[in-house]
Amino acid sequence: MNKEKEGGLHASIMIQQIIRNAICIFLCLLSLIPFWIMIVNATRTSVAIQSSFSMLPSTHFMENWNNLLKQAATQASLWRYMGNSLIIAVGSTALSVYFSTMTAYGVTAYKFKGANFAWAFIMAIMMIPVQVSSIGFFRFMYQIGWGNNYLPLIIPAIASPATVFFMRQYMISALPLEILDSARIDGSGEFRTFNTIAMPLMKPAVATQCIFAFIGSWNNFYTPSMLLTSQVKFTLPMFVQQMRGERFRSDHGMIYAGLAVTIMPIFIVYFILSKYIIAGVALGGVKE
Amino acid sequence: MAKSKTTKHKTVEYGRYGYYFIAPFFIVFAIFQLWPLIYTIGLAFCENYYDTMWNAEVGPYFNGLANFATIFKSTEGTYFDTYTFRALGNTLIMWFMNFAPQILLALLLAVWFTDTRVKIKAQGAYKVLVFMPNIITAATISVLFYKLFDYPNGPINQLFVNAGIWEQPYQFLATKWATRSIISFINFWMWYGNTMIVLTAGVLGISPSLFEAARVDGATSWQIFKSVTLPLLRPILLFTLVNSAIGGLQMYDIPKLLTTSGRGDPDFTTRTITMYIRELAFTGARQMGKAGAASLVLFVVTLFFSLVLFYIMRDKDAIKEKKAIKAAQKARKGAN
Amino acid sequence: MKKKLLSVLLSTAMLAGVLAGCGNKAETPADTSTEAPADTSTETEAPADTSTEAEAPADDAAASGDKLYVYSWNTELGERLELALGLANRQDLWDRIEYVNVGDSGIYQERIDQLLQAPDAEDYPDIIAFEAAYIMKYTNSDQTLPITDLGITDADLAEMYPYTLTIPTDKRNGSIKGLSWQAAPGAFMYRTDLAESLLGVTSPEEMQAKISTWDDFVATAREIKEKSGGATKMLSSNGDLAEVFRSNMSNPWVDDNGVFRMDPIMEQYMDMVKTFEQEDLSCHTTTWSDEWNAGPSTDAVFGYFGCTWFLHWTIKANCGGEKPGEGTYGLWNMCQGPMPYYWGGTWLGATAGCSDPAAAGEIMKILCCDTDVLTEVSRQTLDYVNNKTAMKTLSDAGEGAYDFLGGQDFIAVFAPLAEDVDVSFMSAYDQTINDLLGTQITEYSLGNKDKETAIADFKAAVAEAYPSLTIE
Repeated sequence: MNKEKEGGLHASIMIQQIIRNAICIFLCLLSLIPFWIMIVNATRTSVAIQSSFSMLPSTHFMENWNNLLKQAATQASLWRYMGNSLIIAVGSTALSVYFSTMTAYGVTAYKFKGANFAWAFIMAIMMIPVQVSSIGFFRFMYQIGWGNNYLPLIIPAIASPATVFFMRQYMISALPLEILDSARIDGSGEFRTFNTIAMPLMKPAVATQCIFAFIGSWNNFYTPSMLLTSQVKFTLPMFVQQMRGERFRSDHGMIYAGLAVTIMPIFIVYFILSKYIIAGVALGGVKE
Repeated sequence: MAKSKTTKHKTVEYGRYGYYFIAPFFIVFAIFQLWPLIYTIGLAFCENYYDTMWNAEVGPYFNGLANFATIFKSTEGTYFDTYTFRALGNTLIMWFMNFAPQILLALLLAVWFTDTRVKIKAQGAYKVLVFMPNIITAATISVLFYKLFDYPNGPINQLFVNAGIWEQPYQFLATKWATRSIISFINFWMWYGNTMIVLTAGVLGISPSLFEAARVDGATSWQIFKSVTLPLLRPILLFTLVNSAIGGLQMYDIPKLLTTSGRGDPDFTTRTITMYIRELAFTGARQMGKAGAASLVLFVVTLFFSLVLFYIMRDKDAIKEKKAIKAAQKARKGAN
Repeated sequence: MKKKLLSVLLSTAMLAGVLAGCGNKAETPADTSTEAPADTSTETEAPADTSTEAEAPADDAAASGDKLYVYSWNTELGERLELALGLANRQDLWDRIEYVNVGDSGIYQERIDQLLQAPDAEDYPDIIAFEAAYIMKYTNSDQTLPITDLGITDADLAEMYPYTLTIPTDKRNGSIKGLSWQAAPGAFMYRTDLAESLLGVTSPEEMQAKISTWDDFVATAREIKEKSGGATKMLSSNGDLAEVFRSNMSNPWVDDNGVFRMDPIMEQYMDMVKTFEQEDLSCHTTTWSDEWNAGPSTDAVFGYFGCTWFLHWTIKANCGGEKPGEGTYGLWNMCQGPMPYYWGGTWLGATAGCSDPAAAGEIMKILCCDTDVLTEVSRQTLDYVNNKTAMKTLSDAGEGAYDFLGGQDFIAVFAPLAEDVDVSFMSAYDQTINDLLGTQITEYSLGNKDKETAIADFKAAVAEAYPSLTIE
């Protein structure tokens, strides 16, 4: 009797498991579709892409890829654009994540007059819409002679309120202040404590914010195209957009090959860091 | 006694390091962002636009609250019946349409992933994949969805027409609610993974003994969810809600890129407030003044949502800090 | 400590204020209000800064080096410049050009506007490319130089089509401020094989007779739909009609006094779109969408309204073949259609702060005025160039016979149309206003709004975009 019931229970758990897994797999497929379509389109000819939609890859990838390299080579090589994007993305990501952690640490680990005000201020500027002030920013960059330069794409990342916000959230749940006290007792300097004790404890949050900052900078088209002039300084998205801009002669297969190339580094970084990212998102979002 | 005095003295002294740590942020902010911000806020109270015919800037001249008047009051004299508030309304509607299903699905998945009875072994992989849409750019996604729902021969239309379900292809992107739904769906699909991960962590944070006790009392899964999980998850749910609302108010890329004209087709019904602000500032007469004013209105609305967040967080913070201090004192006393 | 920090913060903020504020000061003398506290205080403190910032927008040749910055939104102009300067043996000029392809026409004006406010920047533009939709905004301002300042004389302009000079003429003083190397009259381009099988039409003249008025055009559209059993439609997108009607407005959207009027012909346009939508006479695509672009390679679309560049870069590029027998290559013809019209083109203008006006003038002269160069440019690129003699030479030599058009001489079709282009319908406001009208026409054609509501909403949207206009 009991056994039977247990068997029934077991069966119902099995069924539940199958249903739940099926739904999860469906959701995962849904997530993969855009990547898949992009890769499929990168293997198709421009005419085929325009006239029909397909989920099955074709055989023209090398053709599109060579066209892409050739098209890029008329001005600078594709690797150059990628290198440019990398310089900007790595530079701004490093600054943004390091200094945001530092800022969050400053308002979390220390008690000083104005700490609350500083925090409220950071929160407030996070909410201010930037649509209009971007004009003033570009104007100012040109006034200080930073036009056609990577600096305005990298340095301002030091002040990233949203990253600070996230870091503080995470810090509250993952960084016990007692550790800092004991570090002090051991005679560790404040900056050393931050770099050698606090930063390592923040690893998941750092990974999460790294990927977001990196993606944000890597994909950013608007700011660089408002500031960069020399073709040799252009970023990858700017180059892809240039190919798109050829409204009358767009080679769609080539554009998709370009998009696929653009997204690959992000893909790779995401999968390498995914474990930390999931942990980071989990703790950064939880206020407990 | 003497020792504790010195430690106390020390903490006070350490306070100044706080300034050093936050200094880079504020210096960089002051140099690069403060001025444009002040300028924008100032413009909100000025007449400032371009005379298109001669491409000449007019103003900025101080005009008090005139910009705000045009934002709140329509030309017919009715209040809130303006393009600004319609754009704000669109934004809130599309935010809600994405948030409601998002939180429901995220909750469901969070409960599944933390269910100790029906274990999902591959959940690590699921989490990684479900979160993934979050890392693609809105631009790529918009183009893709635009193609999927293309009229008359997009894949979705082909599917339904060929299957004989519809006689005629459907003009998704020329229909208000269809377009809004598509935009909401994209946002939903991009963000539910993120919310799910946060909520899963939240559920894991609930003491397992509570679930155990409920189960011993013979509660069903639904009862456990309703009377244990949900109430204890409330702060996180609220946090997610407010966070999502702040992000939702800034919604820009997807509605901008999904519609052909970029003006929130059809008939401005998917134009969000940030799209509208950019349109004011960069197209037509480039009305910087009014755009600044609209930005301030958006700021106030965002602030309203955020105050709720502050409220939720501040209490907790204080409690936490008090606890930490007590614990630290105890630890010190113990050491003594 | 705190004080120190505060002072650091304040001084950096002020520095930012000074630097940003001065630039504005130069252009906005009546800047009374906005950032009052910051500005008034800083101005007295930093007189040195103000002077350096406000000075010398022009002739700062040294600052820009020998480079000439040319801005455009795609590669076309760069290719033309390289070709033309090469043909004229002026490689030296090409070497000096730093060609900037912004790549996105959507943000192009934003970028230009921002650069024009930075006269001291190294990448300040010397020559800018303008599209017809917004060129008047720049030529009616002090941001562009008259071509006489560039050493270009009336004699250089003799071969140009008059309308290409009317558009870039500064309304304030009548000086010409931009030049174009192309002319862009429009025609109706249709499939000869479909015309024969569906309508029994075998020549462009017969085709013209079938669409010489709008009533004929609609009747023929119905006939095509009926005879093909709905497989072929007259047009791909309803929006394809837009340029034709726009070109035939008797008044511009906004007159010189800032009064907005809706020309009656645009109401006719609204009705025409509705007819095509409701009676299913087009393929209901969106102009420039992928499906629309794929049209020329299929039998779904009978024809397109298109202009000179449209013929090569849109229809031919999308016909699915590269020589007769492939795709629809060779199966096209052109006739004038119900109304003459004109569509687009690219102009070059030198900026007010151009570092070397003489060189800019030489470049513009070679690309836009030199008959020999333009003849060769047209021969190699098929551009319909803005030079009557060049086009006549090519047509006389039989080089206009175009295998894509089954041997029809495209020059002979376009030449008389180019002479007659009337651009009095254009204003600096066109781009935005046309967009706003498009939104309401969609609503009207789908039956979501009646005509009065659609027009009222259109006018309200115009008033929102341009509050200083008088709406009639």
